[in-house]
Amino acid sequence: MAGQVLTFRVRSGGSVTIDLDRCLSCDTKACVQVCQKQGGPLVLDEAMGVPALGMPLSEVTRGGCVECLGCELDCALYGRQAVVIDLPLARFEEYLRGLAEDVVYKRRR
Amino acid sequence: MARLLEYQGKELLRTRGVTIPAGRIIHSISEAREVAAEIGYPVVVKAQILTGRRGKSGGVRFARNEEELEEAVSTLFSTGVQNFPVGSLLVERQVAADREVYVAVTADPHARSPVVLFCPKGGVDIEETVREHPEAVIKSPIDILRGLFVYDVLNLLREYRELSSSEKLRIAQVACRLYEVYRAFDAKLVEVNPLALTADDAVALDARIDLDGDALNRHPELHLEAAEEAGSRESTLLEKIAAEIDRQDHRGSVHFVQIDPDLSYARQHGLIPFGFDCVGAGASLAMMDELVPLGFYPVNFCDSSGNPVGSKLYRITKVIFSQPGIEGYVFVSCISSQQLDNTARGIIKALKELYPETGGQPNIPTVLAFRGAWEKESMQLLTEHGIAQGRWVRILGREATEKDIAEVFHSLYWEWRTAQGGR
Repeated sequence: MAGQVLTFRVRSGGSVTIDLDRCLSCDTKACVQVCQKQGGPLVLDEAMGVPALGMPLSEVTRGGCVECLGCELDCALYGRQAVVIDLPLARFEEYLRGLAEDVVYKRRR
Repeated sequence: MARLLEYQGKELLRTRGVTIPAGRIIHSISEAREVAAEIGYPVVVKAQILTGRRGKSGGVRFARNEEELEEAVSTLFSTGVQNFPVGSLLVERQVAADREVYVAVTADPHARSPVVLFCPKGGVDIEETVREHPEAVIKSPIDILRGLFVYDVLNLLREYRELSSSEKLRIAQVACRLYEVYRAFDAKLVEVNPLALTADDAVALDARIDLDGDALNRHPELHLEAAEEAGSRESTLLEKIAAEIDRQDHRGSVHFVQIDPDLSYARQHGLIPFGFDCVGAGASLAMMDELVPLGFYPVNFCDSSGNPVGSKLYRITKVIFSQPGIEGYVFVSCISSQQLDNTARGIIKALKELYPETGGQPNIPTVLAFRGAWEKESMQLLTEHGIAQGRWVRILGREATEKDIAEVFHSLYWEWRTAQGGR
């Protein structure tokens, strides 16, 4: 089972990656709990002690995942920091490179 | 709405058989010389900007020889037009017109249909003509199921005795082609002003085409980037980036426009620039009404409503914080029914990424007002993630009015500024 990850793409163009090795030792499965609170069809379910997709991948990508970001945020607080949601923003780096002055969050005051 | 530059509009007209002057887009004096050598003098040099009244603002210049051409090109590139920089010019063969008329097809919300518009006097004075002699512009609704035919327009032009039959026919043919463009490209306005009537043709000397921004995805062949309407200027890169967020995902919206992209207005008027996000455009205006008199100026407008997914808020929060020079951030929801905890999660993820060293606590005054559905959960999330505890963060709930929020931000800002050494 070592090195296992669950990864899937989401509707807005991005991906969710879950390090299942970490999940094995997670007691809370906070990601599954928060997903269940969304009220719709379950994206994340638990199978064999780790999170698993609760709906077909095609449905997830079509918008079944409402991208609430709860799995990543709750896992960071109550789980094993196993979830990473990557949400690219096209041309954002190009924009930052073109700025004449630093953006405010790069100033450390 | 997506407004096309003149040369882009003319290219669309050309594909539907409308005659346009010989010419090409240029970006340098050497390119201008090449084009003029190909098409011959005299030429017209036209700034490619979106603002109106370009001709009266010096954005259109004439050149009879190379010397005049170089002067026109260098002047337009160096001085711009109406304070807008000019990045490209259209160099065209000058057309001698016997008569200039106005013809357009647009959407008429009152008629609930497209209409064809005609005025026998076109050119730079069309606004004055419309103002002083509104009866000079005639319009006729177009049955969208039936379409527009040459004889419809000929009927419309029947009363203009000053126009010859041949001229009427050419105008009618152009009007029908404008309607073709209007329909084929989901336009809101297709306008030719002036349409030059020459001895044997009708030539579109200028073109203004506004496309329905919500239909741009149907026209990838145009290679246009969607962005919120930004008045007379071209959209900024940041606005295009923000528009892409909505284009990728239909769930909720984040309408983002930079009100003061280079902070010139705020600095000129001694106002304090801040980044701004609101759930609801009305709440946004109400907040501006409270904040501007206190000396603040929102450098952007953003309406993140329609129950957007958390990922949208994450992306747009990054966009808003990436405007240089902002000295604060305000998020306010109206009493909305959208699921604010998703909104909160988006903001939290963005702040944690932008401020990893402080766990997401920003270094500028930040007021977050959650008023509406799931507001308590939203506020709790900000506390759980340690952001609410930030020195420069204030979280407000349903009880806060727009005035309260503005006063909290005002007070927090001056506390922050004093801590910064009053700079």
